[in-house]
Amino acid sequence: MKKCKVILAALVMLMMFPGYCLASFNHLYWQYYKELPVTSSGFSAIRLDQEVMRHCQENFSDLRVTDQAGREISSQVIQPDKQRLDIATTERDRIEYPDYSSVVLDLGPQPQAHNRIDVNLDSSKDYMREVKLEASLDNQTWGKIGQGRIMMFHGRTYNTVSFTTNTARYMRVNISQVSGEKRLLLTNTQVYFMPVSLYQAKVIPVNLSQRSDRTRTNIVVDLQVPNFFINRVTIETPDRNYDRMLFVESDSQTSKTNRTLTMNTDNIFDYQWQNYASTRDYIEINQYARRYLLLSIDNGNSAPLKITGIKVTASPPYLMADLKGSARLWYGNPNIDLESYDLGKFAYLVQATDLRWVTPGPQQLNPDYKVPFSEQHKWLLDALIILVALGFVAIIIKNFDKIRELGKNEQQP
Amino acid sequence: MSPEEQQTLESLQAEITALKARVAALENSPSPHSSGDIPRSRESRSLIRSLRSESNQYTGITTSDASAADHSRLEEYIGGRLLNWVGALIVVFAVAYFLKWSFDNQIIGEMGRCILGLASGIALMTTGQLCQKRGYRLYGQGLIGAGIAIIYLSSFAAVNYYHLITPYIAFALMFITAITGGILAALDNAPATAAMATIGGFLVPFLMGSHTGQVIPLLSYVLILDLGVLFLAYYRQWLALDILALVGTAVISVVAQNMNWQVWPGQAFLTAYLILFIAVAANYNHRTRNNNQFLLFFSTVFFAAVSFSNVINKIEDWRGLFTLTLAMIFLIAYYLPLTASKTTVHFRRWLLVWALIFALLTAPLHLNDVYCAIAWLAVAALLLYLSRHLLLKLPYIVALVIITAVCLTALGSYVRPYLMPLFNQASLLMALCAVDWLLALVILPRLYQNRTYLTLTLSAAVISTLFYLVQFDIGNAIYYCQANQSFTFLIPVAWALISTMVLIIGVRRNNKTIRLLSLVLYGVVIIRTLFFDLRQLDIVYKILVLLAIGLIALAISFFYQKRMKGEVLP
Repeated sequence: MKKCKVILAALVMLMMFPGYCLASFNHLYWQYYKELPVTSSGFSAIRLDQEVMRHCQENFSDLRVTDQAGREISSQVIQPDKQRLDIATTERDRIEYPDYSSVVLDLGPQPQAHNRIDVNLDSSKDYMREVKLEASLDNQTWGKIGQGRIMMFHGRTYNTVSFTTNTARYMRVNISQVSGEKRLLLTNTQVYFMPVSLYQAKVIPVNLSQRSDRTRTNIVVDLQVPNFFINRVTIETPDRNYDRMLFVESDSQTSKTNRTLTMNTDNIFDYQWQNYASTRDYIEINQYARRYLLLSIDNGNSAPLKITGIKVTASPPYLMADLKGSARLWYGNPNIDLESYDLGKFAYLVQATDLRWVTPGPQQLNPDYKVPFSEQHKWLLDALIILVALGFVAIIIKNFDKIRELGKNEQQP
Repeated sequence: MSPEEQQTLESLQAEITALKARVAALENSPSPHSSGDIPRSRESRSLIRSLRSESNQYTGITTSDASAADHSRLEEYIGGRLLNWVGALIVVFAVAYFLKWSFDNQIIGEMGRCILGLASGIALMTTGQLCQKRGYRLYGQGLIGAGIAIIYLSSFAAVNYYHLITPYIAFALMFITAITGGILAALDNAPATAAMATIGGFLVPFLMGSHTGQVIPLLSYVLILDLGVLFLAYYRQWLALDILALVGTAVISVVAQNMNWQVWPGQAFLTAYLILFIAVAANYNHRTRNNNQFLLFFSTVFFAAVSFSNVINKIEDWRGLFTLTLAMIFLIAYYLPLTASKTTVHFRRWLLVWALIFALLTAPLHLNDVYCAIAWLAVAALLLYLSRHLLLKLPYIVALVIITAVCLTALGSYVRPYLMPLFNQASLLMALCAVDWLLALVILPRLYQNRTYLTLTLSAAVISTLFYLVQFDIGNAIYYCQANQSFTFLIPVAWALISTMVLIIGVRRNNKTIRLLSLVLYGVVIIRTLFFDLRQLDIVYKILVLLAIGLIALAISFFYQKRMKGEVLP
């Protein structure tokens, strides 16, 4: 009998080892699909429309592309992170004029294309200066290529100036000085090229609801669908001379929950008086958002701002895949993990110019899809699990009493 | 018969007589286990003394006093045991130096080196076993240990340095060595050999040098090793060996997770290890009647934690099912006829405790957001009931910690008033927190008698929660209805009413502490009104709040005036 029990126990143990199971695409678990009309072969950028964004998972884990035969094709959501390319420079001439400072940068005999410069000034206090940029091929003839403002505000520096992409060898940076203020010296500059991202942000239509109390203005921005890549949120107000802290969070509900995503916190301000004007009425986000943006403006003891609108600049995501003909895009599977394809290792090398743009066809319901019972009646299973747990607790408490009695008997001589 | 033979015979006869007398004396002593505690009779002591001296005359060893006996034991230890170990180690070094010399001078080729190592290892093990059989126990153990080590090293060199054999053959060699070592250890009752075999067994995957990173064969191997340890644990009660196996299994499980880990097959192994170590712990408890919970505790905590981290991403919506399964494993272990009949009550109680812990964790882990917090509060209430029922303080303390954590979480999560007053999740949560605090306050006297400071602390917790609740909901109502902010004057008024309720309870129960507490609360309300609310309110509301608070204060004062006059109070 003892041997039988041992054998039985061993069998139970052996039964606990499931074999290898290979992960493969099974279309039965995907609720929706779209046809991808492709005629030629090569890397394609599939623009994900609002239908896809509405039904796909938060981290795009359920996006799958299959060929005509139903075989899975590697795909990768194109990351909006821009690959910055720094360019080495040599400082040539530095001249201090009464009302501005000037420095000439030599980018070398055959410089790479460049379109951004970071200008750092020697100051630990807040400042704002105008920057004018000029370019020259021979260090003699100069032409204006751009201008902008750099500033330090509340300890944070905003020191990037964008300009027209060019390949001139020499660049002259002219920094204005403000009379009556300490002259600020240029500490260093960095010229670089920022490639144009696929993510061309546009203002997207949103719905707003807004409420204010004494100290705070709360605004809920409904983006209509989740998974937008948000670049910037601009607060539109006719008010002047304010300086408020703005908090931006995102969630799939209209109120804050334990899983609310913090997007960014920054000041918005507007200073306008005689001979002085400075405004920053937006906050940079550069993140994927859930459906709702929860904006909160800290009013302190000031009157709430009169907000006339919220402008959200965002872009839909793009999926990259090496398509060899017509294909299908599948989405709408809440129980699937993100796949890690080889493509992820080199996708960032593929430039926008190398991609063909594909617009998916209309959304179609997968006729073979069946909602699993566990999803259809999850509440029932939840209740069952909790009831079983309660039953266990009741049994355990009853046995604790028994054990207590046994313990007493054991202690008695 | 020669005179020498005659002398030997006489000495043997004397020794037998002495031994017989000694056995008789021991049999007559009251308890063999407590001979150290109960003084022997004078006769038996003198008899033993005389026998010892008589015996020593023949053996030639002078042990007339205790220090001489200690010296003898030390001598035996150094000569018999320590020298044996040192000797075995020196032999291993000598062999190593010889091999190095022979390798450097190209006397022995690669194949020869490995065969030599394996042969000498087998020879040492065989010699060790023979020595054991002839009564040289410790000496034999040392030789077997050295033999096992040499076989492991030779196999390791053969596969990793010289690539003479495949990893599978090396694995087989090492595995056979481990099994042989284990069997020899069990047969000879040699824990040192068992430890050596176990350590070697767990080192095999690292020594084998396979770079395939396959997890299933590795975990299967560990499982077989653990089954061997379970087998040894059944025959021999070596706790150190069980702990060695647990540590080895834990280390390999963690290492395996960084290889080509597969979630579900890996989980099956982790579950099997947990069950196996519960069995080892039960076995140890049954064999030794020792209530040491080290094995059960660490195997449960480790394998439960590793399993949870393993499957959490796969079962995000079914976390409760995971803890429920763990609870079921412990409950089944508790109900198994073998456990019920063979283990101690203490061990079974701990099985129940673990089952209870996992059963209680089911709901909070399974649910999300506010339902999770509510489940935690339900767990706290259950623990409070348990502490009252079993008169245990630990569940009570755990319950208080849980309630505090939920309260703090609720305060942090629902600070923003967006919600419909009263009928919102945060209000429900805070109300349940208040109920739990109240329950703890009611149970407190059964566990801690005459601890006024505890009563006051819990009362303060109940009231603070209620204060926060009314403030939260009044704030919500103002926000929800977009009403004038000055309606916040209702907050101090509501606080004053709660303080009055506390006073009434104090009077009804004739409890001076509660009455004093209510007076402190009035103080808080008045301070709040004067230094906070008045600043924010419009003039009309300032009048209203001052009037309300003032009137309530006057009513209380009147109540105390009546009391001081000795009138009967309602």
